[in-house]
Amino acid sequence: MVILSPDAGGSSAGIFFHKSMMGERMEQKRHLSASLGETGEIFPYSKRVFSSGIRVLYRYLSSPLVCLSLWVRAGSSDEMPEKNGLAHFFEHMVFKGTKHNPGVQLIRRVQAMGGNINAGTSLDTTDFYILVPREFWKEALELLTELVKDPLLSHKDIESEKSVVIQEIHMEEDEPEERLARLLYQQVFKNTSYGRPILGEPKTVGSLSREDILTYKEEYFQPSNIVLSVAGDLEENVLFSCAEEMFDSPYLSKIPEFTRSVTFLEPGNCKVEVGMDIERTYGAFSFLCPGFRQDMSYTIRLLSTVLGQGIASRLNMQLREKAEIVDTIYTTYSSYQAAGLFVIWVTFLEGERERVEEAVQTELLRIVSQPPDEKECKRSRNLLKGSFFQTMETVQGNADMFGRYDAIDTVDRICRFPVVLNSLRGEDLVEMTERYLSWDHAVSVWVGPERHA
Amino acid sequence: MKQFFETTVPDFLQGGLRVIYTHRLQSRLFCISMCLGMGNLYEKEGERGISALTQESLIKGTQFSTAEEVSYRTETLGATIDVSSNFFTGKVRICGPAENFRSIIELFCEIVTLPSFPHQEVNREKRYLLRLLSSLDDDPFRAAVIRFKQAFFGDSALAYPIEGRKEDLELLNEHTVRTFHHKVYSRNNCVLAVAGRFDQKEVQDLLNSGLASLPQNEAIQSFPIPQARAEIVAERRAIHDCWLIMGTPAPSMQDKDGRAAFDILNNVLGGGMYSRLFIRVREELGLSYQVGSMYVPFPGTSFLAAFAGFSPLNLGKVVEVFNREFKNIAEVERDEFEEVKNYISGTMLQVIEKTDSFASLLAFCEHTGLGWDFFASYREIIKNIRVSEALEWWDHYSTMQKAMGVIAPVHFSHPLLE
Repeated sequence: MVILSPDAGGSSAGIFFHKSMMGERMEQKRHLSASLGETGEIFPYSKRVFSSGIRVLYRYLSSPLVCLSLWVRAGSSDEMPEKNGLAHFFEHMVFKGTKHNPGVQLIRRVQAMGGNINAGTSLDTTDFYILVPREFWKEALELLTELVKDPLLSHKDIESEKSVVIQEIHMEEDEPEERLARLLYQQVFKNTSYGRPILGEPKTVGSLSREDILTYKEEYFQPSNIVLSVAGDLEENVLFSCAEEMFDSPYLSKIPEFTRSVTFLEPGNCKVEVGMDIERTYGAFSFLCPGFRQDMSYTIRLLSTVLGQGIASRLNMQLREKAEIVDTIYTTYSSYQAAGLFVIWVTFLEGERERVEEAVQTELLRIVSQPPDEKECKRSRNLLKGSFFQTMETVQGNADMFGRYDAIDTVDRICRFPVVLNSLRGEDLVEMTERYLSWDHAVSVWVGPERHA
Repeated sequence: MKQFFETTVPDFLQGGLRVIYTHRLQSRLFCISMCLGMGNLYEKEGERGISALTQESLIKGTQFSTAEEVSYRTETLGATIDVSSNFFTGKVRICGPAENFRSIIELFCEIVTLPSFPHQEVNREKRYLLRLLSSLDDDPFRAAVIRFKQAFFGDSALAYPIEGRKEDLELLNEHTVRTFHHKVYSRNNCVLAVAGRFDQKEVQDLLNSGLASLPQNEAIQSFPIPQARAEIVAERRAIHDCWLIMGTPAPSMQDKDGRAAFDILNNVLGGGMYSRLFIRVREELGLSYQVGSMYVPFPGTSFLAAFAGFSPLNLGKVVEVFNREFKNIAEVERDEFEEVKNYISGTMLQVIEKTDSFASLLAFCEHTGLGWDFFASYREIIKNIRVSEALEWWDHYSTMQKAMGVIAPVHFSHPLLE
């Protein structure tokens, strides 16, 4: 599974840089709460950091299910160019068998418990999760641990899996929306590690060796680089002691240094067009933005909602409902460790790109000339909060959100989100638009019918 | 699962409208969901697409609010609205923060009972659906599903996309939409479910008053589903890979024992990563990234189909593996069978965990005659069914000819595609 835009929908977490964990106190336990506007409700959780360096987060939720989500701060942007696709390939390989559960036995055991197991690779992280009925959580924890600690990685399986991943790459190329996203990232993050495809290229995937995979595992799959996030109804002390026991290995090698410094060149206005055997045109206008670790990411998220989330958003009202020049239009803000990406996505069947482009540009300018009033801000704030509640309703939503935040930054940000949201006003959105959504730096990508390309 | 049904209460509103309340005291959410009889099986010849157009237009204005105001009101409540139709049901669902439950109900009732269907809005949604219809094939997997349904259902109602048929849609207008709305939005054609944190008495009063104008019409009959066919429908596109969907007839949704048998055997065949197709096609042969099977029960002729995307050179091999694995189900092992039962139970819990999906499930089960507590009893049926009983059902259906839908690259030739 590939996660290009972990926060599609503009409502959940992004991906960002994490502080050094070495300074944190061991056995740290905290309870945080934050006012969620009118609801006044809280999101308590517990966290401990063990001697191996692993961080364990637990959030109580009354549910017959438990979700265990393991986040590793290593993704496709950590690869060397000639090894592009390695992080995603490793994510596939762990499901090919482990020391105590060869072949697909581990998957069989999870499904036999009534559970689900899966994984995802993004630019900055790789995550693995098991969702099971509550009574099986201990066994699930053992299996999740084994998955990342003891994969077999046999030569035969590696060769067989290469053709599966290459087929996945072809599938992505045949699907217009996937192809559009891939082209967009390549263009905006050109010449940086973020611009390389998460799946890799057939050539780089084809050349991966067992040694490459082992080296990658050794370097990144260290307890100090892992967050275990658990949500459900279980005894937290039992969870913490089990987790400590399972990740009790000392540091095996150097701890990866995450002071990544990637220089992104703000792109000049440019356009990329590709033709496919399709009927509809799929387009995207994108802008380079700050990554998650900056507080202004909250403002950009709100701006995204004003502009392109919901039927009453400005872009949808003007371009779809009134001018009827697009079939769909929405925005996303995807935030990563070193940068963020604001994207306006459109589709239309019969229409002129130039007209759509002009209308989008007009709406961006209108944020400045007619800043969102309190009514418009309230709609967007409430929509974001409603979406946040829905994410936080399930054990998987909680485990994922807490795990992702803690893997790269701090969980505090989850609690701060609704608080900061309440303080944002129209003028903050104007400032963000002027700083980051300048048309001079817009990258447009179009995937359309072959005849138009 | 028990805990979710213990807090569920079935009731009737004034005038006999069925409503199911399900309480979640710890939830931050409130959800109201209506399931009604509409979709392909309720559309006459010449009206293919009327359900989709009615649903698309439903939130485009009421007698008190413009389309823009409806959207603004919904989103300012922090709520999301989901209005859709499928082959034999339609859905209207609003979900938002629990503290806004009164405003959510008020909005819901206004949308359902007093839509204005303005000429301009209905025409815009019609043009949107027409454009959508023209581009359904852009996604190769979806294109293969459409071909499979044509191969399986012939030219009957279920062979059409839920968006309808171009020549029919072009003739529809706000008047036909209003007439259809009046017909299907009636007390005896819909069921409500209310889920989350709320005061039941207050909700009941609000619904009684807000839905008072909902008419009581004559019962609406859906058109029957024809017998399955076993054709091959293939099409070529300029793509890298081939997509194949191959399926057989299967028990209907009302046939509880047969349905349980097929739910289990479908998961043995291609549900999840520990399934026979996944292991053979992906893990052992490395032929495909996306492979599995689906059992789609309808109120009548239904199907179970295997699917995969793969290099066209492997088409023959994949067809061979599919055929072999369909046949090999007859040798399912007891352990495998029992494990899959657990997997299905776990999957049910995941559906029920979410307030909005549970509300929709309750309304759907009650509306389709399965009963609001169907999932609780169905779990027991799944638990108790034996391998031999399931295989009797399998034998009955799986020996029938298989239908196939294929999307293949332009210059690829294979006897199957001729």
